[in-house]
Formats: sequence, structure tokens, C-alpha cells
Amino acid sequence: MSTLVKARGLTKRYKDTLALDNVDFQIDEGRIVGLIGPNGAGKTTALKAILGLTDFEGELEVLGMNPKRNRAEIMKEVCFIADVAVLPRWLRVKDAIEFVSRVHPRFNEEKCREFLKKTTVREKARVGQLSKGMIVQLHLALVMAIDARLLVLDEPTLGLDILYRKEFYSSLLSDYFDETRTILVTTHQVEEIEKILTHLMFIRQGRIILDADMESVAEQYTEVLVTPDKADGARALGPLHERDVFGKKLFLFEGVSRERLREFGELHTPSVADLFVAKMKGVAA
Amino acid sequence: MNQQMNTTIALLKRETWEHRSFWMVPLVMAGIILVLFLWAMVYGVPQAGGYSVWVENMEFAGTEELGQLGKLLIPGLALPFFIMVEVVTLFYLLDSLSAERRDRSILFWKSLPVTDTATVLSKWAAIVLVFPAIVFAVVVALSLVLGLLTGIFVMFGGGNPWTLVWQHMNPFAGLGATMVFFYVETLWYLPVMGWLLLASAWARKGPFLWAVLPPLGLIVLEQMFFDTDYLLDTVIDRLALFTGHSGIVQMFEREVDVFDGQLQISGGAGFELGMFAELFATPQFWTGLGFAVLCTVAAIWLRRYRDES
Repeated sequence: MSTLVKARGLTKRYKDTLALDNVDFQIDEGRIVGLIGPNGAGKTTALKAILGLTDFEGELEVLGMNPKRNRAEIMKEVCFIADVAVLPRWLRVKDAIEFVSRVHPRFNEEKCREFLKKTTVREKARVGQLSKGMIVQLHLALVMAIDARLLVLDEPTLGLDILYRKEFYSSLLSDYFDETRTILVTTHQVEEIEKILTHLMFIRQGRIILDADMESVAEQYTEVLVTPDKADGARALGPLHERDVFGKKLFLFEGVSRERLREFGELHTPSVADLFVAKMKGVAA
Repeated sequence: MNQQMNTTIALLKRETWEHRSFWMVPLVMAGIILVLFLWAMVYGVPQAGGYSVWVENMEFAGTEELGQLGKLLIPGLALPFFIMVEVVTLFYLLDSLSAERRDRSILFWKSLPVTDTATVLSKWAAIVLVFPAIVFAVVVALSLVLGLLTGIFVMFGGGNPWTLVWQHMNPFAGLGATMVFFYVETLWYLPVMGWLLLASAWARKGPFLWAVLPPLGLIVLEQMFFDTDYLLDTVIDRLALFTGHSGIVQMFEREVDVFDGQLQISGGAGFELGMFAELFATPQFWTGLGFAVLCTVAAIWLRRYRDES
């Protein structure tokens, strides 16, 4: 297994704000990494640094290259969907396919057409005539037909209705992902990617505050539903977060063994969304 | 086909997809000229005495003069097209690196393995090679259509279309000289074009204002502090169509001689390169090219390194 992205001391300053504050992380092959954080936490900045779209301080290697210098070279093996609807309105679907096919040595035209056949996107149409959902389908078809090692998705489903959102991730998993692929995704809609992630990264105010695989997240973090009479006892163990649920207390613990917690009530593995809220405490509020 | 070739083709095709004006504007212009021509033939000629008088005048003019007219057809037709080319060029360049940022499609283009240098150079290639090639093709086609139709109308007047019209038609007569003239003009305009490209790379909105206001400001400052007009003169010299720098004026005057038949341009025989040498010998010509290169490098740098979101 190889490491695709390695960041050490990655820092990005915008005038007087620190978007990335001396961040270390690495992304290995075969992972689906969710990079999650509130607005302005530095998610997009991190992605832009990886994709060679912005300058930065510190060390960053993508496929062994420096994205500051080798953007075009890196893009042979890295794909990204930056945002919905960045395909230009004047572009015809068939021309988009031709363009990518000509400039990209690892693009498979047939595969792209196969993906498109499953949609209502017509090859003669211009992007401007397609709905937002169809544009995303087109963009995804273009990207999935590229035999890339790393796919970066920045809020890929923003503004899409729920049908398209579900389909987006399911086709990504069934038609694209395998052990040689790696996906890095940011989103606000944590619930919709939670099931597909292998790794989780939380970013807050330019720092990575959680970087773990999903299994160790399940081991590390436990939610306990506690009746009010036992609440004080549970509180003594130092929960990360507590909230009220139907007259009971729901505590979220980090690094406390399940054996010790079992006496207080029902145990759950917290959802990524709940974990996110707990970890972001004091920032979002 | 190798990758570089393929990328080049893709980038140039991309420009023709985005800028349908590359095809539409010359075709519309050719259409207008054709309509004017037909109007002259159908209404003008009968009113001026009818087809037989028209044909008689032609016969009277004689073979030599008709041959001269045939050679002037392409240069004459090309002239209005050149003015159109400058207008399209202005809008194209202002749009070239700002539109993709306005609609954020730059993020799509940048997700592909194409360097910023290749992208910016493709804008140059599109506007100085692809678009003029389309225009020249339209001009040649139009000259053929006009010649063919003229011959047909000559038949209405009882003339022989072959001896009066068609034998004098050579689609490539004058084309060489016209192209050389166009490209020498283009070389002269290059710094202005580079500046427009840079304005486009710099400004997301209002590239035209960014192209116009800074030089205007400098011109005003120059007058206020030094009471001189060097910059203004330089700009006027660059912008004036066909009458700019003295080198160009002289060259154009001689060019007219060329069209009058001194030289057979199509074969390239005896083409006086000396008349361009005068222009190429001026320092302004070279500083202009240098300025265009600087603007291009700056535009590439901006597209590569500027982070706008």
C-alpha cells in the first residue's frame, strides 16, 4: 500500500487568518477519507493545496510530486470535482467527452458513454440546457471514466436534491471504487457519506482534531443513553458531550472502555454527525 | 497521435466551441456582402442601363484591366473582414481568461492535465491562427461565389463568362499578399493584444475597464507631471488602423502598388521583403513584441498561481 498524499507542517495564511495551521496528515491508497469541518475550517484550502490550486507553506507531496510545481503532471492521476456546475454552459456533452479524451491519457471514452447511457443526459445537449443534477451526472461520468489514483470531491452534492445525492454516492461506490482507488471527500452532509467512509478527518480552525479509521472511531467513541438518576455517575467519567434525549441523557465518551460504560445504560457507536458536533463544541456555538 | 498534439487539437477545438463567433461573424459578413452584391446585380445593373451595356463596358475595358480587377478581388474583399477581425479579437481577448473565472469553469479545466502555459498559448493560437484561417477561407469562398455569379449575370447580357470573368479568377491571386499584410499588421498589434490578454487574466469582472483605465491614468499622470505625451503617442501609433507607425504607412502605400499589379504575389516571385525590413528595423517593433511576451508570461503566471476563492 502506498501513500498518495503526505503533508507535514502544511500551513496557509490568508492575510491575517490562518486557514491551515501546521497540519500533518497522510492519505494511503484504497481509502475513502472524509474531511469534515465547519465553514472556514480549512477544508477547501487543504484540497486546493493538494490540487495545486493554491500556494502554501510547509511540505506537501502528492504522488511524490510537489503540487505547487507539477499541477498538470499530478492531474494525470488525480481527478477532482470542485463544486457542482463548474462545467461551462456553452460546452456540448459530446465535446466535453472529446476534450477530456484528447487531453487525458487515462480516460476511457467508452466507459464514459456507458455511464451516460444510464442517465437522461443527451450527447448533443449543451451543459446550459441540463439540470443541476444532470450536470453532476455528466461530471461524474467524465471523472469515473478516468483511471485515476486519487479522486478529490469538494462538496460534490451541494444543492442537489436527495435523489441525485443518493445516486451520486452509490454509483461512486459500485461503479468506481476499488482497492486501487482512493477518494478524498468533503461535505456538509455528513450522514450521506458516513456509511462509505473508511477514514475520518475532522478539521477545526485550521487544525486536524481527529484523524482515524472508522473502526478505531467505533472503538474510541461510545455513546451511552443514561437515565437521569445515573447521570452524575456517568458525568464523573468525563464525557466529551452530553445532550437530552426524551428525558434521558445521552453522553458521548472518548477513550472510556465499553465495559465501564455498560452499567450506565445502552451503548451505541456515535454517528459521525454526533461525533462531529461533540468535537466541534465551543466553535460552532 | 502523441499526447501533445492531441492536447493542442483539443485546446484549439475548445476555442471554436466556445466562440461560435469564429464561424458566425465571418459567415454573416459574407452573407451581407453577397446580399449587397445580388442587390446590385438585380436592381443596380438594370437601372444603370441593363446587362448588355454592363457587358459592353466590360468588353471595352479589355483583358488586361479585367485581369487586374480579378487580382484585386481578394484584397478588396478582405479589407472589411480585417476590420471585423479586429473587433472580434478585442472581445475574444478580453473574454479569454476572465470568462472561465466568472463561471468558475476554470476549476474544471484545471482538473485536467493541461498546463497553464499550454492553455494561455492556445488563446494566442486561436486568435492569430485559427480565427484568421477561418476568415481567409470564407473570403476565398466568397470570392469564388461572387465570380461565379458575376459570370452568370454576364451571360444575361450576352457576354462570354469565360473570357470576361472566369479566366481572370484565381482564388489565390492576392491571397498571399493579403495574408502577409494581415500578419504584419498583427505583429504590429501584438503588444495591444497581449495587454488585452493580461487584462483578461487580471480582472474577473470588467476586463475592458482594466484594459483601458490604467493606461489612461498613466497618460494623464504623464501630462500632469512631465507635460509630455509619449505614452499617448505610443498608444495611438499602435491602434491606428493601417496608418500607425510610419513603417506601416510606407509599407501599406507600397502594398497598394503591389496590388496594382507590379508583383505577382501568388507565386511569391520577387516579393519585396525589404519593405518589411524597414518595419522590422524599428526599435518600436521589437519593444512591442517584448511587451507582448511580458504580458503573456504575466497572464500565465496569474492563471497558474492566483487563488481567488
